[in-house]
Amino acid sequence: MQEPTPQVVIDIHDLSFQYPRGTTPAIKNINLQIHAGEYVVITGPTGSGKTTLAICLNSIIPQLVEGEYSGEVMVGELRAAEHPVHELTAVVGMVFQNPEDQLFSLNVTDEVAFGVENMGYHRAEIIKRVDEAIEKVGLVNRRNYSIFHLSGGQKQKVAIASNLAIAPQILVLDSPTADLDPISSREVVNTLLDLRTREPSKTFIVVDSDISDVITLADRIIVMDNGEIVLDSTPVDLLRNHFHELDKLGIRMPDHIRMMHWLSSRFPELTAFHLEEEKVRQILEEYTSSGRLRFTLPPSARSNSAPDNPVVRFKDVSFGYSNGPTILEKVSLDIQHGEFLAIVGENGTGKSTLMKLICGLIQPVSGIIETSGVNTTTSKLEEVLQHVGYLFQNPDNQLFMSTVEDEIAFGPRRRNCPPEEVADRVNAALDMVGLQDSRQQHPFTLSRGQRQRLAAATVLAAQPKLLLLDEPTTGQDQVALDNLMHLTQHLIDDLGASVVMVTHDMDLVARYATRMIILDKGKILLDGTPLEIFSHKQDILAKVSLKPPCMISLTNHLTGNNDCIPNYKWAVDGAIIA
Amino acid sequence: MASPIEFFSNVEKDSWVHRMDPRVKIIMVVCLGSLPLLFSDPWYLLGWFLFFSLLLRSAKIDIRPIIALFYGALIMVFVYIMYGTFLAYPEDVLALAKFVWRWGPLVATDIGFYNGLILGSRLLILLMPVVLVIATTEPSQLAKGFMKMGTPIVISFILLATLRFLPLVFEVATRVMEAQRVRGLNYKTFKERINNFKFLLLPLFINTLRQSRTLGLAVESKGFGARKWNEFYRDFSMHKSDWVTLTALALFVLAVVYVRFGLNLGWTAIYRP
Repeated sequence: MQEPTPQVVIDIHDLSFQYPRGTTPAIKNINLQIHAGEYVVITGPTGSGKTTLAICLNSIIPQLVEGEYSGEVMVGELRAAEHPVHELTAVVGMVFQNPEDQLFSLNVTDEVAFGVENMGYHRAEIIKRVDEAIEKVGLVNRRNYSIFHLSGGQKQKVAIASNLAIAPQILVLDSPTADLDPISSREVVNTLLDLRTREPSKTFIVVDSDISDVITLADRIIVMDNGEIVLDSTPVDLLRNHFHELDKLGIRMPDHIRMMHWLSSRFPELTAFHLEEEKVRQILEEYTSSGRLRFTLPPSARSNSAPDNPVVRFKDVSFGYSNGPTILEKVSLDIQHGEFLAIVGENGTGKSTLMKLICGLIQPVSGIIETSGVNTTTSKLEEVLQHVGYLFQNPDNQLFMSTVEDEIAFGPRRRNCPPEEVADRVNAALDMVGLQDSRQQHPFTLSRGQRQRLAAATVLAAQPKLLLLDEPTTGQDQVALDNLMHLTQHLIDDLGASVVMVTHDMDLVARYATRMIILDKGKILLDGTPLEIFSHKQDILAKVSLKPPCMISLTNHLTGNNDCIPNYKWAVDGAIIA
Repeated sequence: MASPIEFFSNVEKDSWVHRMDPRVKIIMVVCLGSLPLLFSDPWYLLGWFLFFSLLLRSAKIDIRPIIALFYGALIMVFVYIMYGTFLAYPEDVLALAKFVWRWGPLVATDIGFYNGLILGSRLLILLMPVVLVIATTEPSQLAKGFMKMGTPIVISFILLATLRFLPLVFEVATRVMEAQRVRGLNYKTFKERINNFKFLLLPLFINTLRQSRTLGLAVESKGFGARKWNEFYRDFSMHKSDWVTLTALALFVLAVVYVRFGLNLGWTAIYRP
């Protein structure tokens, strides 16, 4: 007997939308049907129209966001554009990217109850729905917690629960893991996995430019570019047959998928395309043990820095806010010239504090810090910062001049460069980040991607001896991240700068860092090259909830002596096929 | 320095004020907020200040995260003092002044000084019962309290949004100022703060606007526009202790009114020590 076709829950015809100040439509000619129980991932590079499409589903566009709207979105029997957002709440739930920005109450239960209370139910029904939703996301033992005491992942689970309590048929999640550390991301993904099993008729739509976390959940992936749907298929079909198109668009994919694609392109007998990391590992083991595939091991990586000439020196540094707990305890650390140091660790272990101490924004309670030979405690902040560049997660925090040109010139001028040199540096930085045509524009009229590039340009033009990078992967697609890392490498190679990066992205560490330290409870737990730590200290990594990068896990059993291959590029460049 | 958002940790504590019904707290803040306005004698105002300090202490409130707010109020006190000192009083009032200093059109008097001090102190004192209630009540409970007292849902909601959003503005300002300091803008001296304030405004506005927009969309996506907010998960009802507090409050108000108007104490049109 043939299975009945699932009910269409979203039916979109010729949908286009242009924002009032946009020069081109944010989305155009969208035709799409989504069925009950489907798990759909909508992906695409930054600015491709993913979020715009998502907020058309619950009529935020056009009800709350103005612009030129044409076409039709049917949500069940309702023509979305004709209904205010609250009339669609019971049908379409929406979880936004940053949990901090969307939680309205200070307490878990109040937040989960907020939506149901808005629906006007009686108290008994409110209690039943809230309790069920809290149980579904696994927050029963935290139901009375203040949201300030929750991790990023738990906050995102509260946001999901507050939607589940309303019991919408469709749940839209806009980059639900983009602002989270890997542990929190895993928590959210596991919750979604569990929900999928428990509520098979619910439709999930996840919008994300990074498909690493959600790839195994998806039934279908829709790829957008320049406001249009360019690909729409199953994950296996897309990743096997359209891999290069996805890569070109800057969609972030996990290394095991890249490896699977490489394996299937080199070994035609591999007809099945696997999405699970474990399956890819098994194939690699099979091929390496049979001698058909051999990987070249990288040399023991050593930092290219000159020893005993540190650009940053910490000696027995402790720090804690007054009347607060100790955040860093007797940390001693030398960062050498030309070194690319990654600082990793769980949230709250003192990573950001360490960065602020390096640049003198805060002073240690005890110990000595020297940055570029300047004592940060006894010197003025301007002296400490003379040779330091700091790239923040959010570019909007650090832009403040009225033109792009002045923004870039600010650093060199502050360093008393002559006008000709300022002009040269501005031009060079504008060329490098591709903003030459926008030099007279106000920084806040640029797109987010352009603002990120502008922030990088302000650092480049200042030619710092030390660059501090704060979570560079947050909110970036692969192309933007590659560009940033290229600029960073330029600073190291051509200007001899050192880089200190705080990140949760272990792939990034394996690919770029020459040294990494792991902070735990305010102390340095491990200090070494990424390869050493990832290959030989996996038990300690596990204790602080850190997972080695995918390629390390894939290859650490292949060589017999726990030596690993740090990244996908190294693996395929050095692979020998018999 | 403690972050302003940490002020809300006070809500999780337990004290006799925390346990009160939100409606009683609303009535209390209205009464205690208006009673000091009946007094102008600095000694009585000092009494109010000490009384509110004791209340804050008994409610276990840590004001350090929002100490900047009190500094801001102190600046207002200073502004009032300056304004009062140089206010152009009529000659008959000037005749009563013990100290008069003239410089061109400016006339400084001790009467003006004390009047400014009194006006500014009242502002500072008014802040204290408001802090007492905000620090001991979940914003949503407070808004629901207003709702149950018949306040329109939109007004209750605006109050709730303000309480939720104010600390976020402080957070954003701190982050932006840190990023700007790293790039070379200083906010250490008074002059630097004034000069560089203009650079803070736009990023602060853009970042705050972006956060508030997301918050607004999230709230709307959870059906706030339906305006059906009337039964709640955590319901509250008046307990015996609330009635006792209300009775005590009523007696206190009567006593204060009697002291002020029955005994005619605590008011002086022109204060001179």
